[in-house]
Amino acid sequence: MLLLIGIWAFVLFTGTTSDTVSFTDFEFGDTTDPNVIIPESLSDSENQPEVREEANQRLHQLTTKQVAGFAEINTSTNGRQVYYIETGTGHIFSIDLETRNQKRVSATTIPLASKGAVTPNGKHVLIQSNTGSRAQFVVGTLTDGSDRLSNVPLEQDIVSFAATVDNNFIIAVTEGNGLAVLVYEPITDQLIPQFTIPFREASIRWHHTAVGPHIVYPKATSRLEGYVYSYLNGVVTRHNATGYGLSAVGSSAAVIYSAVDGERYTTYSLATDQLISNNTPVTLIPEKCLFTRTSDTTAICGATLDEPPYLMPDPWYQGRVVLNDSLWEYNTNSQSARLLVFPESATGRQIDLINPQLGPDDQHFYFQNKVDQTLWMYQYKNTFN
Amino acid sequence: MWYRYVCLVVLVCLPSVSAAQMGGLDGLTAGNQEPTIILDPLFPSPGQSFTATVQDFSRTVFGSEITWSYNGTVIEEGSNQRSVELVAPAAGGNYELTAQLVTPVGLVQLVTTTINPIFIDIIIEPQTRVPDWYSGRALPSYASQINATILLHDGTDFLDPNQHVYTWRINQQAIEGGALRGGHKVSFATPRGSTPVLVVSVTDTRGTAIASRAITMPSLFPELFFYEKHSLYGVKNIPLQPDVAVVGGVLNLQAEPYFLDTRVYNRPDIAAWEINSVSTDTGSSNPYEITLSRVGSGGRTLLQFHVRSLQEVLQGVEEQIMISF
Repeated sequence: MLLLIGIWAFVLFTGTTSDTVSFTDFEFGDTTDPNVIIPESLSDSENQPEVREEANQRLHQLTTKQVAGFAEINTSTNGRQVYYIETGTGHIFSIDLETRNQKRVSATTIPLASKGAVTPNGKHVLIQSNTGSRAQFVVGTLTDGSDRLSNVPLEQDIVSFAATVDNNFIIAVTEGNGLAVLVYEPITDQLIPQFTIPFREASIRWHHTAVGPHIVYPKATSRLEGYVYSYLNGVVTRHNATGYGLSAVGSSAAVIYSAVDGERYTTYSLATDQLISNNTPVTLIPEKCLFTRTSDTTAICGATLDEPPYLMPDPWYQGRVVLNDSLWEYNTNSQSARLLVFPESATGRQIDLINPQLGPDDQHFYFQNKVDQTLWMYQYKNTFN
Repeated sequence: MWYRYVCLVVLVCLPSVSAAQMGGLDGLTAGNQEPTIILDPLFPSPGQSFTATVQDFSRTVFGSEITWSYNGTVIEEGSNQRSVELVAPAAGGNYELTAQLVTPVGLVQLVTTTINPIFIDIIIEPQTRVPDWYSGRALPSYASQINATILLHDGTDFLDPNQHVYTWRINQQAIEGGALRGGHKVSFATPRGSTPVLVVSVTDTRGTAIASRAITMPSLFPELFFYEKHSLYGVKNIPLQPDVAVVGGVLNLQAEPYFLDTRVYNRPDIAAWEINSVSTDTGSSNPYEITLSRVGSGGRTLLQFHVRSLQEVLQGVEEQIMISF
């Protein structure tokens, strides 16, 4: 009897008893959504080697070290380089993107360096040493011909920071029951107030310019409601995006946000001048997304196609869930998504993507692997424009 | 005999006197209870669907022809309906909603309300422990403090909290004694129960209601995870499994009690490690850290950690992990 049930179940799922069909090939990954474009590398096995080769050429692991911060630097003398700050030591290295040669540009040790930002001209860095109440912040200046940083400590209670295109740093510091956002100019050592955020538990997705729009939302948890605000030139806009477990990424044209709908983690896109959101074809964690600089309706995202775990994003924040991301390009206008590369099939390595960042001309998409904090790069071409 | 006539006059006139004091007989019916439009939810947020209903305790609506119009446009599907489903405009939209009632005798009455939605956001900031690198929000646990903020945004900016009066209630209990002008931020202790209800009502300084919201909050038991800590790189942000094999000879561990009251985290009454059920002094200034070294050829070690307040015994958590060297 059991044997008959087994044969019936096999025929039901596979539709054949032929020897050529794999027992595990139940094709659960298929989709009928016309907005999801699966490249031939995944849909047509005959073309797989060529496309994989191209993906391999585009996807690169840049470091084996843990990275605390990084930026693409473009100088007339040294060409296009990536500067990165090594976690723990605060040493700064450059990688020539043409030759892949690596060089240490700062040997000044900043113990327990945990986060950092580098200005686009490669002259200044802001490094956080240690965490929590023991955190200290230092702004370092790199000088030609020396591997020493000249450091200036920042005494503010900084909770978030980033470098801006004009080679300054934008920082959020605690102020009363909220946060104050300031621009720090390393050349003048000036702090220039920008705007305030009326609560402390804020996640900030910094824009690459100081004026913004910077996307702000209460830190996400599946058990409390969140809301999306954007600050442009110091003026706050409340976007019509509300939900439990909400986190977001945005541009001047659109916001991508995910929230728990019922018990299902769902992703939406919302044009900034609209009230109604659209479901995105791929569910993703917005922390894994970044809008390109050349198109404010195109974002590059890391996404896992598996059903998101219960109570997302909390277990991912806690590290109890590790994701195996593929890289997607998503256009909020056309509501279509295109798979760029699946790192596991291209390199054999699983990537849980964090800290996405683009170079100034969108040619390179950088990110870290959450598992080992290493730095990766994908050579990007916008296929929607 | 004359007093009989006086009593008769008084009895006849008394109802008229009473009615005059109340504004006439009409005042008992339609005069003071004109039809109104009731919204559900009471304060729809921008873009939210809501139901508008003509509420009538008089007889005005009975037999009347009802015509709804919203922002100057007649709603065809609302013809002769007591209720219509609508969508609120953008924040600051200021749409006029009108129900025109034409009685069977041809009298026309307009019932009007204004839909001027604002965003009503309640931000909960529990004062409980999460790791420094954790990018999510902490969650409340029993007796821990919660900071709550209500933000009203009208499409152009946050409304000035000093121009409004706020009344907060947690599980029906008023917070900070009652209504507070400018009181858009409050602090309170997490009450008993797994889902306390927080209600906030906002009026202008003349008492006109402009916003009201209720939310449920979770109240969790603290959770504990063990993370590996590197002296140079800090805490590795992926927790150790309950049964972990260690390759090297030394393992630095950090116990991270999620959602423990920060006051308890900073001054715990109990913060104890046990190795194979024997109390262990870590010798570290940080009670949440321990360094384990392989002894001899190694083996399996049961490691336990317990942190607790003795004043609020629910403020505590204990967990264990099996380590194989």
